Order: sequence, then C-alpha cells, then structure tokens
Amino acid sequence: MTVIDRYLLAVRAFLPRAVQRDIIAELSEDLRSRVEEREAALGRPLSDAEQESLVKDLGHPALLAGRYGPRRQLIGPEMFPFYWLVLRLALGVGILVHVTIAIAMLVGGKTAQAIRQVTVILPIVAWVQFSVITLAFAALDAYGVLTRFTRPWNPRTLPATGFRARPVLHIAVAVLLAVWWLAALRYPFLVFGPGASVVKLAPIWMSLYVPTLLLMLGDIAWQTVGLVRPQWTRIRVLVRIALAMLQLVVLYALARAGEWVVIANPTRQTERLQQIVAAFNQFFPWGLALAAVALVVVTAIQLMMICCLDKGAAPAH
Amino acid sequence: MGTSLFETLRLELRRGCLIVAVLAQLRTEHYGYTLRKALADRGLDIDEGTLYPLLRRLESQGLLVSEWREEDKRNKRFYKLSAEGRRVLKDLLAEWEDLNVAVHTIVGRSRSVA
Repeated sequence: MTVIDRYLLAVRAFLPRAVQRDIIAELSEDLRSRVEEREAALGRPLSDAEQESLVKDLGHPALLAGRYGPRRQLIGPEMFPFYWLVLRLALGVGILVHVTIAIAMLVGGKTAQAIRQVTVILPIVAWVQFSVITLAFAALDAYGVLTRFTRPWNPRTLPATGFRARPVLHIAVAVLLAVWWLAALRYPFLVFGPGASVVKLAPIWMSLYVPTLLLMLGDIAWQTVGLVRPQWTRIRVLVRIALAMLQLVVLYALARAGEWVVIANPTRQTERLQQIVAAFNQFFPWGLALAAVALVVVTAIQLMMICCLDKGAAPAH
Repeated sequence: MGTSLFETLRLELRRGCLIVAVLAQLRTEHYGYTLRKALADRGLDIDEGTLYPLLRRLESQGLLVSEWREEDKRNKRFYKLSAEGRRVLKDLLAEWEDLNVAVHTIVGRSRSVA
C-alpha cells in the first residue's frame, strides 16, 4: 500500500459516510494524474519521499476532510456581542451571589460549607449557566432571531444615549436581590448573620414571600425593558406606577403584622434577647415608613427621567 | 504578527476572487485536475484542498453541474456551469467590474494625494 493509498484512507475516515466514495474517487483521480505528470517529467517512477511530498501539499487528512463540510458556527458574529454581554452579566452576578453567600457562611462560622460553596457549587452553577446561555443563544441564532426582529427597525427608535451602563448595573443589583431573597428563607444567616441561631423571621415574611419575589421579578423585567426598549415610554411609566403601588401594598401588609422578628428557640430565650427583639420590632415600622417614602421618591425620579429622556429623544418634525 | 495579518487579509481577498475565477473557467467543461492546471496557466494557483471542496459547495448551491465520465480509460468527474451558474456569474462579473473600477479610482487618487 502506497503512502497515497494510506492518505486517501485517512481522509475517508474523516468524511461523512454518504459522500466518502465520491470524494475519495475524485481525490484519487487527481493524485494519480499528478503522479503521472511528475513521472512523465522525470522519466521514472516517483520515490516514496516524492509521494509523501505530494500528499503533504494537500494538508492533514482531517483538515482536508473538514473543508468539505458546511461552514459551521454555534453563534454567529452578529449574535455574539449579545451572547457575550448576557454571559458576562450572568457569570458576574452568579459569582457575586456565591461569594456573598460564602462570606455569610464564614461569618456564621460555617467554614467548611463556605469553602464548598466557592470550590464546588460555584463552578457547577457557572458551568450550568455557561451551557444554558450558550445553547439558548445558539438556538436563537439558528432560528435567525436577529434577522427576523431587526428587519422592520426604525432609526427614530434609537435611544438618545449610547451604551447605558446604569440600567445594566440596576438589573444586576435587582437579580442579586432576587437571588438573595430566594435563598434568604433557606439560609437565615443571609439575613441575620451570626444572629440566625437565636432569631428568625416572623410568619408574615412567609405570607409575603411569593408576592415580594414576583415584585422583584417584575422590577427586573421593567429594568430590562428600559434597557432594550427605552422608547416604550408610556408602558414603562404605567408599569413603574403599577409596580410602585403593589410595592406599597406589600409594605402596608408588612406594617400591619406587628412583629417581624421572633426568637428562634423560645426555650433558650433570655431577658436580654427578648429586649433586643422587642426593640427591633418597635423600630421596624419606622424603617418601613422610610422605605415607603424612599419608594415614592425613587419612583418619582425614575418617572421624571423617563419623561425627560423621551423629550430629549423626540425627533424634530 | 504583520505577516500573519497580511496572510489573513490575503485569504479574505482571494476567497471571493477564486469563486469568480472558478465559475468563469467552468464556462467550458473541466475535471478537477485540468481545471486547476487551466487556472494555474492563467496565473491563479489554487491547491486541491481548496479547489475540490469549493467545487462541491458550488455544485450544492446549484451553480455547477457534474457527471462522472470515462476518459483515457479512467473515471473522472467533469464540472461545468449550470444555467443558474451562468446567471450568477454574469451578475458577479458586473459587480467585479464595478469594484475594480472603484478600487482603481480610489487607489489612483490616494497615490496622487500621497
């Protein structure tokens, strides 16, 4: 068996079965023609070294076979910047959350769990995030989502500002808060730190757990719409007002509870602990009132900013 | 670094030109080996590892048709331009002419400015 035969066999191994025979027959014919031409020019059969040189010009069998396949890319260059932004954001928030949890565990004296959180759970979560986001964007790219949704675009809808770092930061913080809230019931030390062994959240928090989570998700959705569709002024204003009202309702329901922190283990309560819990429950309504005022002020500022940006971006007719 | 960048840009520049050249050369029928020689004789070297996959891709796009036929007691695959290939080649050549004129004009002006 000559080196040319071996080369063709190697190329064949890398080709799809359906086209193997056809491609190898054509390559074989080409190589035979080249050999005959060289032999006619030299007046003698080609040596093994000369045959090796001939097939070396064609490149590695795997590379040659690979050129016959369609050009493949998981995520195209147009979709890649979106993929990269989401991946960095997700991984950044993920790392921040797990490091925060690990620090809380360290403060709570759970060193082994903290190390496990960073060395085992964080890499697994990051890997899952990477896989899910990559597959999702590959599917979106294969579906041609960018082409479909960017075809009827209107230059008037372009935002008045360039890259908006602030909304991205707000979304990251909102996601972080939602993740913290999701973990807070399971890991009380995320709320109380070392004090989690003596105090816990009152039952009202459990009653308001889901509504609060939904409002947090609503806030993330609202921030995201502000990032990708800043020109949707009316819907953004209406949703912001609706969210603020619902947040005030939750604050009101919370305020009516009467107690917000209770002693974790009543059999181990001391007078000093009772005093601390009572003082906290006495001052907590003031905190709620401050939160309500802050909510109204922040909402008003957000609404003003939306309206000002909308006026600034309005085209001159 | 500079050589590598040049090589990348050269490959990009050649890629489109090779397609036009191959389509133009296949206005008359060829099999792979004679096609490569015909292109080389006219100053365009193309290696087999590039040519054969390109022929297959152009055929799958409907721009070429091929058939296996015996010649000199050997089976060879002959390629020629399809009707669709002729139409596309005509458009590509018109585009090529426009580009050529534009690039010549730009390069000429740049040189005179420099």
